[in-house]
Amino acid sequence: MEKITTRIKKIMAVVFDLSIENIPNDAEPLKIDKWDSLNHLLLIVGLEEEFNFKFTDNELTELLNLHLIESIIINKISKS
Amino acid sequence: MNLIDIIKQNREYKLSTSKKEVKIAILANISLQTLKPILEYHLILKDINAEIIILGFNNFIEESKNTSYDWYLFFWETINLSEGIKGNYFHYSEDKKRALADKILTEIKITLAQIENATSIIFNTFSEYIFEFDPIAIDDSFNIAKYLNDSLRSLKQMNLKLFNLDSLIQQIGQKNVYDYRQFYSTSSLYTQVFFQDYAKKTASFLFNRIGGQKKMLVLDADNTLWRGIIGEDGLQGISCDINDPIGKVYNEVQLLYKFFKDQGVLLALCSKNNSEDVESVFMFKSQMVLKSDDFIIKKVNWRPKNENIIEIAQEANIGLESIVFIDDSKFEIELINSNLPEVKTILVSSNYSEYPQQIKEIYSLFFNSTKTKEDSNKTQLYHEEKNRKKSNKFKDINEYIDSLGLEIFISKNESIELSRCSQLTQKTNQFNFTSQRYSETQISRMSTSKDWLIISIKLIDKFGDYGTTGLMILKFDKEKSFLDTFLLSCRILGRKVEIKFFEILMEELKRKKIEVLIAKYIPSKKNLQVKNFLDSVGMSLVSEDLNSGEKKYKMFIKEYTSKENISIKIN
Repeated sequence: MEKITTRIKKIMAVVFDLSIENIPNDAEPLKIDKWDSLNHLLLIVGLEEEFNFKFTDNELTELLNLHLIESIIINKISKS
Repeated sequence: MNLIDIIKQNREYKLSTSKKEVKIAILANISLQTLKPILEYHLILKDINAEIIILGFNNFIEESKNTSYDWYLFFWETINLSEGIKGNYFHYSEDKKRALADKILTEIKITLAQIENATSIIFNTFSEYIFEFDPIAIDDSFNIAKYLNDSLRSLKQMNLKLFNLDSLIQQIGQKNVYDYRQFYSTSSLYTQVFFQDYAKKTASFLFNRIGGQKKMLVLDADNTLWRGIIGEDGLQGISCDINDPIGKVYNEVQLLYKFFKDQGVLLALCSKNNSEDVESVFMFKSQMVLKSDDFIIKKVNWRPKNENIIEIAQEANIGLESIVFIDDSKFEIELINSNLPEVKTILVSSNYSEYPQQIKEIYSLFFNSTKTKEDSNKTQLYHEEKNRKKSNKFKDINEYIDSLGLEIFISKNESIELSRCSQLTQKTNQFNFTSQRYSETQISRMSTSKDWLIISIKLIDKFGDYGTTGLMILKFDKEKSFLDTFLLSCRILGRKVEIKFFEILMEELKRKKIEVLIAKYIPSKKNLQVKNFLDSVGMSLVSEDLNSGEKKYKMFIKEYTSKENISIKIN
């Protein structure tokens, strides 16, 4: 099973048009040029498709950086 | 296919294609970021290299001005017609609903007139669903969506095509269409499912308009023009007679083909038969609607149909991609599909009753951009209409602005909202002369300093509050003042607020007995639109740096005179 971080980074790489090595472990909007509010919407859809779930309203407001995204996803998967 | 794969495929296609780009602009009052790759993808499936540009949010008139894209798509959503309409609609009086609908209609007319030269415009109809409360309880006498849709349908703009959104929503089901999770935060409204279906339909429409124009129908004879086989059943055995239930279907279909022909579609016959048998039908069967000379080419022989169709195309001097071939035999259809994939094929349904509908559905393949006599006449009318509109346009906009009942509320220093002002400096890119970014702390410090003045404005109109949307920051040095920041949020531009805002500045400087104003234009990637604004309000250019493009201006306050009388009330 692929690591969750890697799966998230793969999505980010496509949305932000970068190679996966260029997504740092502490990725956040300030560190990635194309991570603006518009591409953030694409990222959310990409993640929901990859992990096959829907984020709740509260989760959506917390998806602020790679760490938070990862912990929310891990939390979500462990509950299901 | 999921979104990530779509984005990947789009990138690969764009790298490999040499096709010319079709530029499509989307004007919207909701977020459509995820529609962009999906629509591009569905166009790519049809080998159309589209570049989709999403224009500025919820400012249709201003964003469409001076643009020249090939195509425009409108998502003018009922749900954002005015701030908070979703909750407020049920509280609106009938008069208020009417007034709002008329305001929107004026905006639509001005916007559409500005892009009347576009190849085509797809305008989604307004959906009534968001107003639905309970199918029994609410008896609404005036419905904004219905009113606007009726008005849209009566507009006679040649390049305007309405997309019936309610019909698509019905097909998919409301539950699968709306996703409100990010509506309140980012104005996203639709699901991926909706976007996929919307994109598919829009892409086929665009495809037909752009290059899929068909010119000729190649028809089989037996069981395509009449019921039965002439070589076996003989003249008495075949039927296209309205007194016979199945014959009636063939009569209707022939009438349709005849209609196509009268509209300018070329007809050809391609049948495996003895040629004299088929001619005898034309000669002796009185119920036949189509006559022998309705067909410009006839290939009635026993050779493979793919060979016949190649000859037909050559003789008519048209490309295979302009041909639609109709036959009741699966064998023939598959033969053409595999040998001549450019030809569009239709297999006559074995359920006779479906056959006329099949033919009606291909109508749009022929008549999307063909110029018939009637069309060229329409073109003339269209040009006249255009000239008439031009003379009225300016008047329209001014009257429209007057009718909005705009009011500006001014706040200074202590009374300003620190966080909103900081946010405006961070986020405003277009109407921003210096693009200075300030934190809340910095703004706070300036607002309490004697050397600085911060003025923010709030804009409201008859229909609602646009919030704090303009900001200027001034620095003083004795009798001189420097315009450090001058910005307006782009959603309020185009209502002459920008000129009024400058007047407010001038009034303030006069009151403070300041003599000179110095201002700068610092070019950024996004603020090109204000490059000449300071000249237009009467400031004099002092210097211009040719490398950076930076321009410095000066003005003696007493020399300023306001040029226009703008009906915006100031509070």
